[in-house]
This record gives sequence, structure tokens and C-alpha cells, in this order.
Amino acid sequence: MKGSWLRRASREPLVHFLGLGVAIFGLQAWVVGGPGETDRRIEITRAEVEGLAEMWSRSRGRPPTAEELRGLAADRVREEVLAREAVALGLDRDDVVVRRRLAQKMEFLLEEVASLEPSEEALRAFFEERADRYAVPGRVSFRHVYFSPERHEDAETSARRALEALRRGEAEDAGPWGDPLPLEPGFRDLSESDVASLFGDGFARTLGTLDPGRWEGPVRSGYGLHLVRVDARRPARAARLEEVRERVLRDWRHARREELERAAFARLRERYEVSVDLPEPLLAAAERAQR
Amino acid sequence: MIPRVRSAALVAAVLLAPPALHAQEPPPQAPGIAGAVTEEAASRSFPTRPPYSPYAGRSFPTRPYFGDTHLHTGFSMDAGAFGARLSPRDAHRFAKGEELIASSGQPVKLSRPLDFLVVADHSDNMGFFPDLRAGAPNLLANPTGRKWYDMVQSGRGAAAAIEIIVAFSQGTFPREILYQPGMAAYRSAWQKTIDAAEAENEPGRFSAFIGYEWTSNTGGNNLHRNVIFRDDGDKASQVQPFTVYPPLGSDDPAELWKWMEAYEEKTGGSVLAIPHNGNLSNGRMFPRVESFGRKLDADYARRRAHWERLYEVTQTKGDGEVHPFLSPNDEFADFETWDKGNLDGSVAKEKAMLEFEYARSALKNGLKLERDLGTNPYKFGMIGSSDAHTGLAAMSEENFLGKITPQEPGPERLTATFMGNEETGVKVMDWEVSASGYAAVWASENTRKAIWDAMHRRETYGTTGSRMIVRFFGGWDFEAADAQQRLPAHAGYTKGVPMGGELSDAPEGRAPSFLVAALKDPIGANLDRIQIVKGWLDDAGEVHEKVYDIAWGDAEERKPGADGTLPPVGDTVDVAKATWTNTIGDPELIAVWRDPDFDPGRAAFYYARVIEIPTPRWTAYDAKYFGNEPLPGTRMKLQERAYTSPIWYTP
Repeated sequence: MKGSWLRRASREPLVHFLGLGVAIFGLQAWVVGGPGETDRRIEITRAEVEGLAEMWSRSRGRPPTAEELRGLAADRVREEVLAREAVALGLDRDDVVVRRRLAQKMEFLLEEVASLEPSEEALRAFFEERADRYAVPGRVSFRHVYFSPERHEDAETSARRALEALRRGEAEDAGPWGDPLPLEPGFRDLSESDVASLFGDGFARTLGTLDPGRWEGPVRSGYGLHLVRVDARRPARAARLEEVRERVLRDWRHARREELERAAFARLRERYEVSVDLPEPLLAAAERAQR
Repeated sequence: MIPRVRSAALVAAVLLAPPALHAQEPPPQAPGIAGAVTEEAASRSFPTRPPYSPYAGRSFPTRPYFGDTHLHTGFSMDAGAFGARLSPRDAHRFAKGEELIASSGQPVKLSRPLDFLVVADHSDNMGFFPDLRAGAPNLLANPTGRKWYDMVQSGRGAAAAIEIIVAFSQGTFPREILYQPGMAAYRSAWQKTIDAAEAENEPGRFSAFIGYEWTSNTGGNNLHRNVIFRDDGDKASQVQPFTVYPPLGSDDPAELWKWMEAYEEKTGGSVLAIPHNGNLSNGRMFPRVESFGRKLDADYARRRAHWERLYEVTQTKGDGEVHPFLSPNDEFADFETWDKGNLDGSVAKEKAMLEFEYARSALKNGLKLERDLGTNPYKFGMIGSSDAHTGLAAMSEENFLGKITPQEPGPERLTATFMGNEETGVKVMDWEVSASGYAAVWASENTRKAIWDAMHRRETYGTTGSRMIVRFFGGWDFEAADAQQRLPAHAGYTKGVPMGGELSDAPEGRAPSFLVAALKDPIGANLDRIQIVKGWLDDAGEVHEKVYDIAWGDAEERKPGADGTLPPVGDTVDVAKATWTNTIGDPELIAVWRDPDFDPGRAAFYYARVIEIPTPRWTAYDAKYFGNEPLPGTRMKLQERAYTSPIWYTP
């Protein structure tokens, strides 16, 4: 029993963390001599200076100049002096900032230990639960001829005349008819929502009802009238996992990480008996303010 | 730059070789792996027939993509203070067209999805606010942090936000509670921003960009830039954003450019920066003499031109194209003008500052600087974006979801104060906030890389919230007939360069000609007119400008007067009902225009401005919905517009 407890403990990040903390504390007590008799010697090691330079480089994107490096070192010395004096005065105890920093470090540890490879079944279940999110939108290939209400006495009649000619097969393509438009005369594999974005909802809806392979219309868009020929249509369908695996995996990891963080915290939280005294009047005031 | 023009035309010519559309069959099945490779099978996998649309999927763009390059979420310290709770991930989902619950608790949705989005949270203090709201002990331990926390908790989040912004602008933000690179909480906020973009990016359907805003704001003077990554998370997560607070950060744009250079060197990636709101910089956005104590030199000009390819010319905090004081002859110059002071209202505006704040005067001064320094630092293209701090990129007048969370739709926003400074008397009301704008990008496909590349070559335009489609090409050979073809873009790419391009080597005796076409927003208002704005440098080194009306709606009955002025298009707006009709103006306009005053020896730029017929402003929709009375002087209608990137001529 004891063995298994130890083995489990040795896997616990908290234990790692506390162990490390004890080790550092012990080392510091031994080197510095403990609070009260502050060591008067401050040594900023080469490694530490390199660390400062690295941090600078990471945020600035370039290494510090000599002058900037001296500035960073001077700041570090100042921090050290003040920190030691503060420790000597016992200011580190019961300090929320220190506590918060430790908590943050712990959160990081929790995040990083999370294992993030799903089993095939888990991934598939996750994917199937959210099939809507991964659906492949319907796509349509079509061409169109535009008739501007401003360029014709009666755009509708012009459009109908052109439609008859097209259907009689007098022209292979609608080239000779229609008006200039800063939009393509043909689109391939446009998604339904793109059709709506480019031509308006009404046009997109009508387009969805047309049979492929035949000139139809006139169809009204946000701009005027169009003759339209749908060439091919691929209806919306559910995706296969293979097509969207990478996205699903990313979403799964995201969800899993959040879940693990919550669970890890809950486990830690269980070890404590917590009591918080929330004053009722304060709560009531806050709720009033919220409204 | 001549090779660029020629090669663009060549590429276009080759691609356009099969001009007709061909009947299309379903794509052939690839031959089975087990089958022997017969000639027939091989030819089936390499179809000789050209694709259905010779333009789609080719190297030049067939449609613009609309998006927002400048959206804040609750991760931005000020947005969070204002009560924004939505995360970067929420912001992307909303932009994709999903319905969400806004921070103010109301359901919200876009009329149509956007094609791309850059979540650009402030780099300084990124992630600060979620912690402040949660009452993180490190923040509560600081007296100022405690005060802000209490303000937020007691429902005075907006006042806290203003204090936070002012403290940051004035350099009095408590250093102990600053969230900056190197901190665990900071790193985590940046990584979450990246993860959100990675998760929501869907090449071909929606591009979710990684980016941030670098918020240089010393003395309250707005020198902000949005930094946009071309790259995916693997590269972006190798760095942390550049900040402003020293010693890790700097408020000097030249330091940001160094950071950008270092990023590219380190990762092999690409970034660009987009400045915005020169109108709140109090004369510092587009300097002509010095910047941060250094005289402008060739190096400054080169670097600025290299990194800052675009300018955000319109957004919620006012329009930045031009100011009526600078362009008294431009009847459309006074549009959504914000000219009372700098960003926090700590210093009031003086007329002398205006020249260094607006896009048009910067484009002009750029010509001057090019003559003096050899490079034009202000050779930027144009986009619009929101700068909304709500996580909601909703910038149309009838669905304006506000700039900040307290300004999400509600009865107060018609009469509330947006911000005020008692000392200087600078005061901006909520009604002055503009429902603007969007970025339109002529990219070859909807991917991060294609859209970023189009931004880099400046093939972009900005709109004030409308989704009109605008083409603008410049060249030497455009003729009136090019405007009569069914697809004007063919002529455009074959014979010239698109918006953002450059012309030089004028053929003997020729003036540049421009092909411009505009199409209304399919669910929006008709068009009033297309204008071309020209700026040029004379022999004495002075700069000039002129606005030409080149195409307009209702042209049969609407003619310019004796003085050349075009009569107004009319007005069908019913403010009380918040309606208008498309009975005036035209759905599409197109024209070829040749510069009548061209001098081949003088540098010039040209850009198009497209103006819609009058429509109700968001204030009219609000007054109708909430049934309340607007303040005197509130603007209740407007004419939406688009600004294209310029085309430059260099002798």
C-alpha cells in the first residue's frame, strides 16, 4: 500500500513542485544564511545575464545593446537588493502577490502535464457529436448574364428575349447579351453563403431551386436581373472525419485541455476544507449594480 | 517599377488566352491506383479542356473578400474594463456568421458572414482584464488595481476603462500590475489568441489571422499600429508581441519595425503593420520633419514604406481620409469627422496638426518626401476596419453593435457621452461614434497567405461599412470600350495595374487612363457617384489635389452645372421610419477616365472614392427602435463610401 501511495505521489505534479520548492528553499537558506543575517554579496551570474538578454530578445526581437544590457543587470541588482531586504523583513509571508505568482506557476504545471492524444474512438465520438460544425457546405457552379435596370427601357423584356435566343441555341454562350458588371460572368464551386454574400439572399435561394444544364430566369439580385445557368451543384453534406481530422483534433485538444484544467483544479481543491464568508448586503448591492 | 507593370500585364494576357466560357462536366475521377496507366487514364487526370471559369482560382483575383483587421475582445485591457467578455474565439465565430450572446446579454448576428478577421488585442496588458474581473489577488494587492476592480464590480466599468486608458496614455499605469512579455499570464493570453485563430481558421471559407495591436500612445497621441501575421501558429508562437511600456517595449514605431524585422529573420515568416487614427495623433501620425527626436531620413522612409503597406482610413473613431480644413473644395470632405483632440482628449486639436493626420495630405507629403529622401514613406494602400472593443465586427448602420460594450444597442447610447476631458473641454458623444468600417481585399483565394499577400501588394479598399464592390485599374491604354465589356476586369489586368500598383515611363504624349467600376452592396443602397482623387507635386515642390466626378447615377437627367459641379443625387431617407429607397442613383457605375491635366514630369497619385446615395445613419435606426429623442445636432443620415488604394505615377 505504502509503495503504491509513493508511486502515485511521485507522479503528482504538486509533489514535484513542492519538492522542488523545498529544495530551493533549503539551498537558499544554506547559501544566503537565512533571513535576518542578510548576505552582503550579490552575484549576478553569467547564466543569469544571458537569461535577461534572452528575455529581452524574445520581447524585442533583437539582442540588447551593451548599454541596455548594463541597464538590465542594474535593474536585476536593484530587484535583488530590495527582495533580500523584503525577505529579511518577512514581507514574503502572507503576501498576495507572491501567492498569486505561485498559483500561476502551478496552473502552468497543470496545463503542461495534460496528455493530449485522443484515442480513435474518442475523436470519432467528439466529431460525431459536433457534425454540424464540420459539415461541408453546398457548392454551385453557374454562369449568369446581367441586365441593368438603368441600361434598358425594360430590362425584363430584354432579358426574356435573350433567354429565348439562348434556349433556341442561337448562341453557345451569353456573351453578346447583357451589361458590364464588376463580378465574374461565371463562378465555380461557390458556397451557398458566398452566393448570398455576392448576389443577395433572394438570388441565392432561387439559384438553389434551378435545374442544372439549362438557362433560366430572369432572376432578381441586389443589382438587377440575371439569366442564370447552373452547371453543377454539390449539395451540403456531413464531412467525413478524414477530411477534417486536423480541425477536429485541434478542437478536441482545446476542449480536453479545458476539461483537464478544471479536473486538476477540482482534485486540488478537494484537499481543502474551504469556508468563505460572503456578506449578504455586499452581494445584494453587487446584484443591484449588475442590473 | 516598370517590370512589375509589364509582368502583370503579361501574366494576365497568358491567363486570359481562353476568353470564352466552356461548358463544364463534372471533374473526372482520378484513375484507380491498381489500374495500369493508360494514355486515356493519364489524359483524364490532366484534362486538356480549360477550367469552367478561366479566372476562378487563377493568379488574379475575381472577387473581393470582406473582413476586419482590427477587432478587440475581452483580452484587451480597456475592452475588458468596458465589460467585454467575449474571447478571441467568440469573435471569430461571430465573424463567421454564428449567433452569439453579446457581453451586454443580447443575442447578436451578422447579416452575412465576413470572409476574414484579425483579432488585434492590445499587446500591453494582454490578458490583464480577465484577471482583473476575476479579482486576481496580484491586482487587488495594488491600490490602483483594487480601485479599478471595485469600480468594475460596482457597475462603473466604463469609468474604470477610461481611467485605465488615460493611465496608460499618460504613463501612470502602475508598473507592478502591468502584464508584459515574459510573464506566465501574458504568455498564456498570447497563446490563447493564437489557438483561437488556429482553431477557427478554415482555408477556403474563413481566414482567422493571428495579430495584435501595438498601442503607442504617449501623451495620449495615437500612434497605434496593428501587426498582422501571414503565418500560422507555429511561427507566431515563437515570439511574444512587441509592447510599449519600457524597458521591454517602446513607443517609437522605429522600434516596432526592428521587432518585425527580427521576427522575420528568426522564423522566416512575414508580418505587416497597419497604422490607424492619425486623426487622434495630434499631428504625429504622418510627420514630415522629425519623428521621436530624429530628423526623417532615407532610412526612416524606406523602413516605413517597407513595413506599413496599408493605412486604416476609416473606423469607429472617425474617418481619416481628409479633413474639410485641408480640402475646402471637396464637398464630401466632412465625413464622420473627429477633430476635437487626441485619443484621451488631454490636448485639444490645433489646425496646424491636421496636415499630419489625414491620409490624403500624407499621400501628398509622401511625394514631397520622396523627392527629398529618395523613398516615399507614405506609399500606403487603404482599408477600413472597426476597432470595436466588443468582439463583434458589426459595422452596418442597421446592425451597429457598438464600439465598446456599454455602447452595445440600448436606449442610452443616443445621448450618452463617449468620453470627455474636463480640463481641456474635449468631449465626444456616443452618437459621434461611426458605424465603420470594413477592409475589402482582392485576393486570389480565401486563405491567410493569399489575403495577406493582397494586403502587401495593396490590392485593397476600405469601406465605411457597406460591402460594395470596387475595381480600379490604371494604365496607358484604357479606352471607353473597355467599360462596355461584360467583364471589365479582363481589360483591367491585361492593360494596366490594379489598385495599389505603380505606373512610370509615360509613353510620349500619353496621359494615364483609369478604368473604374463599382457595384452596390447587394443588400445596400444605390451609388451616387465615382470620383477620382488626384494629388501631385509641382516644379516648385508644392503639392496639390483635385477631385474629379467621373461617373454618376441617373446620368440621363443629372448633368454638371456651368461651374462643373454635379447636382446632388437627391435624398429618399425617411429618418423617423429609418428607411430609404433605391429609386435614385444606380446599382452599378463604370467609366474610363483619362487625366486631362497630366504632366509626365511630375509625381502623382490617383485613388477612387465611391459614394452611395443617402441612407439612415445608425442613430436613426436607434431612435426608431428605442423611441427616444436624439440630442440636437445628431447626424441621422449619411452617404457611405469606399476608398481604394492609390495608383502612383513616378516620372
